[in-house]
Formats: sequence, C-alpha cells, structure tokens
Amino acid sequence: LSSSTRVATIICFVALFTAGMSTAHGLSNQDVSAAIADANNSLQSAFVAVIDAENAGMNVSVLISKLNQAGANLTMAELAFDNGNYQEALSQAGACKISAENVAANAVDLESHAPGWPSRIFSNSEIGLFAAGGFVMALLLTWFWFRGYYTRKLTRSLPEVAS
Amino acid sequence: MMWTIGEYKRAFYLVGLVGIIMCFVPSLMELAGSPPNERFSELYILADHTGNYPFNVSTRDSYNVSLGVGNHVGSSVYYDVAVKFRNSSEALPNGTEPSPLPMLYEYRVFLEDGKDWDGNLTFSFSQVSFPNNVSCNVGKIMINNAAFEIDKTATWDTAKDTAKDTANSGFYYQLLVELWSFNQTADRIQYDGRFVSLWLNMTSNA
Repeated sequence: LSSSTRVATIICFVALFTAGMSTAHGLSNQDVSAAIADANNSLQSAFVAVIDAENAGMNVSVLISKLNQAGANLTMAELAFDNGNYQEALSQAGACKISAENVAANAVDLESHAPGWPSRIFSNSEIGLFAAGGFVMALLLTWFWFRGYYTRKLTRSLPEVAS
Repeated sequence: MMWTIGEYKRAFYLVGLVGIIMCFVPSLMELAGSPPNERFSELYILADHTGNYPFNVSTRDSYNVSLGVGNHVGSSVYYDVAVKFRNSSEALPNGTEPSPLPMLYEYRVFLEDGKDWDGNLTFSFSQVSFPNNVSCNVGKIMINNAAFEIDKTATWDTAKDTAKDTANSGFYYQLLVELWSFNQTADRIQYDGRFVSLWLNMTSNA
C-alpha cells in the first residue's frame, strides 16, 4: 500500500471509531435511562399481578421472593447509571425487566388456577354440611338412647303401675 | 324437680340448632369477610452487633446499622426504603410530607403480610474538611459501597439539644431513612408517613 492509502485508511478508522464512540455514548445515556424506567414499570406491573393472584387466594411467597431479586437488580442498575457505568446499568435493568415479566406471567397463570369465592364458600359449606350431618346423627342417637333410659327410669319409679 | 320428656325434647332441639349453626360458621365468615384489624407498617433502625449506634463519626471508619420493615397491612406490599442525608438546617420529613432532599440509596422490598425484612446499612464518609474549625463540609458519603456526592456543610452547633441525645456540641448531621410504598390506585410509589433517623457528629480523624 502506498503511504497516502495508509494515511487515508488510518483517518477512516479514527473517524469511524470516534463516530462510533460518540454514538455509543450518546445512545447509551438515553437507552439506559429508558431501560431503567421500563424495568421500573415492569416491576410495578408484576407486583400488581402478584397482588391480584394473592387476592384470589393463592400463595405468592415464591413470586415475592423473585420480585425482591428483581428489585435488587433495579437498584444496582440505578447505582451503576449514576456512576456512569452504562453497560452494567443496562445489564441490570434488563435482568430486572426479564424477571419482572416472568413473575407477572406466573402470577397471571396462578390467578387463573385460583378457585373463585363461590367455590371457596361451597368448600366451607360442604365441610359444614358433613359436620352438621354427623352432629345431627350423634344427637339423634343420643336422643333415642336417652328417651329409652328416661322411660325405663320412670317405669322403675312407679312400681304400682308395673304390678 | 324432674323435667318432663317434652322439656328434654325441647332442650335437644336447642342443642341441635346451636350445633348446626356452629358447623356453618366458616361459611358465614367467608360471606361476611374477616373482622378488620389495625393495619400498619413498621420501620426501625437497629444498632450493629456491639449494640452501639454510631454517633461520633469520621472518615477513618465505616459504620453499620440494620434497617427493618414489618408488614401488618393485610396483604403484600411493595416498599421503598429511601436513605437521605441532611445537615441540621435542612427540612425533616413529617407524618405526611417526605424530606425534599434527594434519595441517595433505595432498598426495594416486597413483603408479604405478617413478614419482616432486615437489611444492612453500611456507610462511611470521605472528602471531609473543617474550614477554620467553625464549619464542617462533607463531600462524599458511601452507602453500601455506592458513592454519593453530597457537599453538605454543618456549622458548629453549641445548643444542648436533648433531641440529639447528647449534651455535647458538634457538627451535626442526620441520616434519614424514609418508608415509601407502592399505591396501586395512584400507580406510583408514595411516602408512607414513617421515617427513622440517626444523629451523627462529624469529627476529625485526629
């Protein structure tokens, strides 16, 4: 290669590198800020989904634990952003968003399997019905035994009637 | 006097009726809902393993306390535990308004009803200066290994303020911890009306 070609090539590389760096830096700032806001929204939406599942009577302990991890990711993303570590911030925000979206999907799935309040009442009523049936049976048996016992006792206390 | 068989029969009817009603109490409770309890959140700050709260601080050491949140709201809550730093002339939070100071460090805590959360709060200071020994400037605070530029100046406080739990004069600062929570209706995190704080007296290393 001639010297002029080498110089032109180097200039092109430097220009491309400089343009690439400035673009990367400029975009990173906006992208990371948007990614953090997006992750924050996902986290809040996931929590709302978890609350809905909880209100439907489901156990959400595992989902709450996952939300805590996602929340820690978001905190780390914000700290990294404040320190200018955009790559780390983007990575942590992405991890938060993915976790939150998984939690939201799991919560919706959990809620869809939840028994509604009529079935919960019915379930309690069934138990109540069985218990009441057993109680009435026991009471009737006791009554029949007691009636016989009472009659026998009454008969023994009136010997003139027996004779 | 002995009861007649008819009276015994009525007594059995009564016992049967009460028993049947008792059997259906869970169903009736489900229909009526649970009785309301007092609903609240807790926020507390605990000393480190030595049992001492940090008070006289300098750039030489780092300090550790524990933060805690308790949920007694009746359902899961998304809490935001916000750490702030103020000098004695800056606004404090109250029962309705948070301190206007910026949040330095946040703990995002998701907590089920009846559960507690504990977290470590480790802090240290750097870029501390005492111009003419009449004021103190703190340039930077490290909270859980994250650095924050604060640039806070405190003047020499000679008032014997019992609220600071001391009779000594000093350069007083306060580490504030506010409790925020996610309000589903407003769809955002809001101040919960609770805060705890730690008075700190900045001293030189010498």
